[in-house]
Amino acid sequence: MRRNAQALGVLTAILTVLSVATPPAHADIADAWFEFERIYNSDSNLRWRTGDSNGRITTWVEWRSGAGDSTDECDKNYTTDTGGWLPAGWYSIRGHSHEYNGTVIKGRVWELDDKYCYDGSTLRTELFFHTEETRYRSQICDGNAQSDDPYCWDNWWDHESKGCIKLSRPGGDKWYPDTVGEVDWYWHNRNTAISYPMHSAVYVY
Amino acid sequence: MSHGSDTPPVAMVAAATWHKGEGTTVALQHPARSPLTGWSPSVAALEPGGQHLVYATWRELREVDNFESLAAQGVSEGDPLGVPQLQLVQAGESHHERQLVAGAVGPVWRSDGALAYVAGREDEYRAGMPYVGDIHVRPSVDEAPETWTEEPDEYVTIAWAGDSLLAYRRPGHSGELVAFDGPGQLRELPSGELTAVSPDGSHILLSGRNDGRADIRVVSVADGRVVADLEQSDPDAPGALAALSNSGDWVGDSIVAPGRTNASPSVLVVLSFDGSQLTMERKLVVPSEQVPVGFREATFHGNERVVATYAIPPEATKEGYVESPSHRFVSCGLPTEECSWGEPDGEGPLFLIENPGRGS
Repeated sequence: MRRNAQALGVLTAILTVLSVATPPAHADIADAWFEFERIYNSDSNLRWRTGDSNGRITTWVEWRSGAGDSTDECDKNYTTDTGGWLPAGWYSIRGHSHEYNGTVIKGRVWELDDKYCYDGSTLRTELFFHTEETRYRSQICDGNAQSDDPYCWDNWWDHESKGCIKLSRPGGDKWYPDTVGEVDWYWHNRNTAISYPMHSAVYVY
Repeated sequence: MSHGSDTPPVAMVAAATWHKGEGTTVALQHPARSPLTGWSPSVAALEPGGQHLVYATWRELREVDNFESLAAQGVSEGDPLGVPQLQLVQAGESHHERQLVAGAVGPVWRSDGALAYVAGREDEYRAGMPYVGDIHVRPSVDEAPETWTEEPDEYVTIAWAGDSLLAYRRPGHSGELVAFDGPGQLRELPSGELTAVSPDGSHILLSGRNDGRADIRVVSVADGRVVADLEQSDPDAPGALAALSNSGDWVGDSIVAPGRTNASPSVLVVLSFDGSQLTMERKLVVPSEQVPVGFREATFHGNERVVATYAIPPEATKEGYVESPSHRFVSCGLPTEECSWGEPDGEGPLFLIENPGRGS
C-alpha cells in the first residue's frame, strides 16, 4: 500500500531524534521500508523507516550508501561497475540472503524487482542491495592497485556500482562502517513479519 | 546552448518515426525500443549499402505502472513481461515492413550484409530472470541463421570489428567483453565498455572506472593487447575526465564519445589515436542545467560537427512522475563549440542509426 508521503515527511523531522533513541517494539510496527535518496553515486542516503498503526513514523535511521556510476537511471550496465543508479519509484524486495552466491555479487543481499526507468523503454534488471564480500561474508583483499578487489571493501569509491545500492562494511586496512550489518539487523529485528516478496519495501527518489 | 532546428541532422529513430535526415521521415509499425539492452547496443541499424533498416521493438505482454513495484502489481518472478523482436524495413521507396524475428535483441550488420543478433532461448522476457539466448548470424536477411554460440548464455551483441563479432557476456554480472571469430570461436577481450570501433575494425576503445578514476584504453581486437592508455596529468582535478559512455564514433583517427568529468555529467569528448598514442583533443562541456544526466550517443556529422542524443528526466514524487521526459539531440560545431538542440516529434527515446562506431 502506498504511504501518505507528505504526511510522513512532515512528521519525519520531528520524530527523528526520538526514533533513533527509542526504536519501537517489534509488535508496534505497522509498516517498514527503506528509502534511498540519490545524491551522488558514491555518497547517497539510505534510510530505514517504520510507521505505527496510526501512520506515524517511529524510526528513521540513516546510512551513507551509493549506487551506479552515473546519474542517468536509464543507463544500462554492461560491464563491471558501470551503469546508472537505479530508477526512482517503489520496489519490492523479492528475497534476502546471507550467503548469496552470484557470479560477482555474493554474501548479504536483498533482491529488488525489475523496473522501467523514466523513458518508459529501458528496463533495469538484476538490482540488489549488497556489499563487497564473499559468499560467507569474509573479505579477500589482495591489494592489487590496478583493479578493484570485488570482495574487499577498501575504498569509499566502492559505493559505486552497476546500479545496485551498495553498503559498506569493515574491509581492508582502513576503517569503514558496518552498514550492511546494521541494515541487516534492522531488516530482521525492526520489521513487520517478513515474507517475500515484500511489496513496496523500498522507495527510491 | 540555443534551441535550433527540431529536424535531426543525422539519421535516427524516435518512437515510431524513422528520421532519415534532411527532413524525410518514415512511419514505423512499432516504436523503436529495446528494454533489455538500452541504447548502447544497436537499436536501429541500416544495412551497409542502405537496402534495409532493422530496428528493435518490444511487444508488451502486460501493462505496468513503471513507478510502482512489479510485485505490488501482481507480477511475480518468472512472469512474462514482454517479447523483444526485430523488424525489417525496406529502405527504398516502398518502406515495406515485416517482422524479421521474435525473441531477439541487438541487431548488428557486418560490412558484407550479414546480420547478427541474440535469439532468446524463449521469446518472452520473464521478470527477474536473465534473458538467455544464442548468437545468430544470417549471411543475409533472407537466409537462415547460423548459431555462433556453443551454448546459450546471457549475451548482448554490440558491434562487428571487421569479421569479429563483439558481444558482452553476462552483462548484469561479470560483464565480460568477448569476440567471436566464427561459429564456436569465442575469446575474451579485456573488460570494459565498448566506446567505439576503429574504421578498419583492428582496434576498439574501451572505457571503465577504477577506484573512481577513468580507465580508457585502446585495445587490439586481434590479440586483446592494450595498445594505448589515456594519460591524465591530474585525474582527480574537477575538469579531468571521469568516464566515457559506450556509444561513440570513430572516423579516421578521431573518436567522439559521450563522457563526463569529475565536475560535469555532460561532456562530449574528442580523442585522437595515431596508432600508438591516445590523446585528448577536446572536451566540450555542456551545462548540467541543460543536459542534466549526460549524453547517450554521439556521432561525427561531417568533419566539423558532432551530434549527440540525450534525455531530460522528469521530476519524480512519491506518487509518480509529474511530467514526461524530453528526448533531444544536440549538434555542436567543433571549431566554435557552439551547440544547438532540437526535439523531434514523438514521445520516445532517440536512437542513432548510422554509427560507424558500431562497426557497420
